[in-house]
Amino acid sequence: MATKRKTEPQTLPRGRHGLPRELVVENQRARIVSGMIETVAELGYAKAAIAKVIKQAKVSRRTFYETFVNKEDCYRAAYEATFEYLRDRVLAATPGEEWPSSVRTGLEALLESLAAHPNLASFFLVSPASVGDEIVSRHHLAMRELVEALVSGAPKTSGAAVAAETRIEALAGGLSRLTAMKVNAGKGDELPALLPDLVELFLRPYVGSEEAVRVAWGDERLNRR
Amino acid sequence: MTAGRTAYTEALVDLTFERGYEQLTVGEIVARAGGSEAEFEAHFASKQECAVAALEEMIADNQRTVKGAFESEPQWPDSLRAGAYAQARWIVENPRKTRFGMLETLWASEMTSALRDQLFGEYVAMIDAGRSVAADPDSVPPFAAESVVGSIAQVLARYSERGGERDPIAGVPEMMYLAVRPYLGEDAARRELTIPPPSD
Repeated sequence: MATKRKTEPQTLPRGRHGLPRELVVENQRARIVSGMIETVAELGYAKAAIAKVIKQAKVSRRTFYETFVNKEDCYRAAYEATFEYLRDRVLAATPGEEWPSSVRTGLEALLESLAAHPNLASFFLVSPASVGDEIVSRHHLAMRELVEALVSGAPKTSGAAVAAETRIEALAGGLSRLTAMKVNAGKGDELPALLPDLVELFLRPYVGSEEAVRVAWGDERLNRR
Repeated sequence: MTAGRTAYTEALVDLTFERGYEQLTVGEIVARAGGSEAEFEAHFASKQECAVAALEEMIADNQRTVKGAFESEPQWPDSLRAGAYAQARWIVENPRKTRFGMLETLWASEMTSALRDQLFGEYVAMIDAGRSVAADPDSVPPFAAESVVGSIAQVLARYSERGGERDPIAGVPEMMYLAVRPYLGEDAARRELTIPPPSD
């Protein structure tokens, strides 16, 4: 391998597909990132050796090190890609949607995206704690950003019982706990079933219990109360 | 010289508070405990095993305190409030154990994630006891207690991250508000915000 240092990457050679070098590099980077996500989801971060990641990604070790400094660097890139993907699903689902039903639509998009990609769900929700303190802090921030995206249409509330800061933390904590609970139990496919619980949790601080229950569960349930 | 098993777990907790867990070596733990490598190895196969034992001791101590307070009050949410104040005081009195318990990376292994499930299960049971006093227990969302535990854990973690800038005892009414609301509704939850801490 070391003797080939000065040659072009061996995978996806220019001649076969005619892609510009930038695109080949971008494509390889994306393959390594998804290789990282798959490998971490299957084996856990500690056992996700670079050898396994590059085998999954079908790139050479040299290409890996041309793209990332080390395993942690690659993990970080994979984490950011995953977060951006999920945040974009939430944002793409809600434009034009009115508050508070936008919360339901956004949460539904998030849960469906996670359920449709079990490895991505496990990578995003469960793996950060096994990597290190820095990623744990980043994950907390990312969950807060997701919550902020979900409640972005909320009108300014007056007379709120708890500070806005605490409210966002509390929602992020509830969302993390419920989703990780399903994924840890190997029931990632059941994530969409959490939708009414989460809609009620998210809306209650903003619109009160009655309206939260109505949007979350429909009129039938409300009439029983 | 024999230092005893808990000397090692205590040394591990103290050193983690002072310097962080990741770089810590068994040699440093042994030196702080005033014991020997041979004795350490008789108790623990690794630093990780010693950390698991430290978490087990921490959980046992914490649960004795919190559940004791919870069970001293017959009626929910008084019982939960008593437990919450006991928890907050435990945090104030045990800053090192608290910091240790808040290290999420410690909870990531298979052995420790079972411990976390056990600990969270205790908190969930104390919160979900609210179901028995709810006007319509079936109307409380199935995972209400789980999400409340997640919320409170995250808010407390933020308190601790900011280096004790916020007093957990002063935060109890807010936590109680979050816990009571799904079971007894907004009015009962808001009452929690006006109840002063117990005087003792």
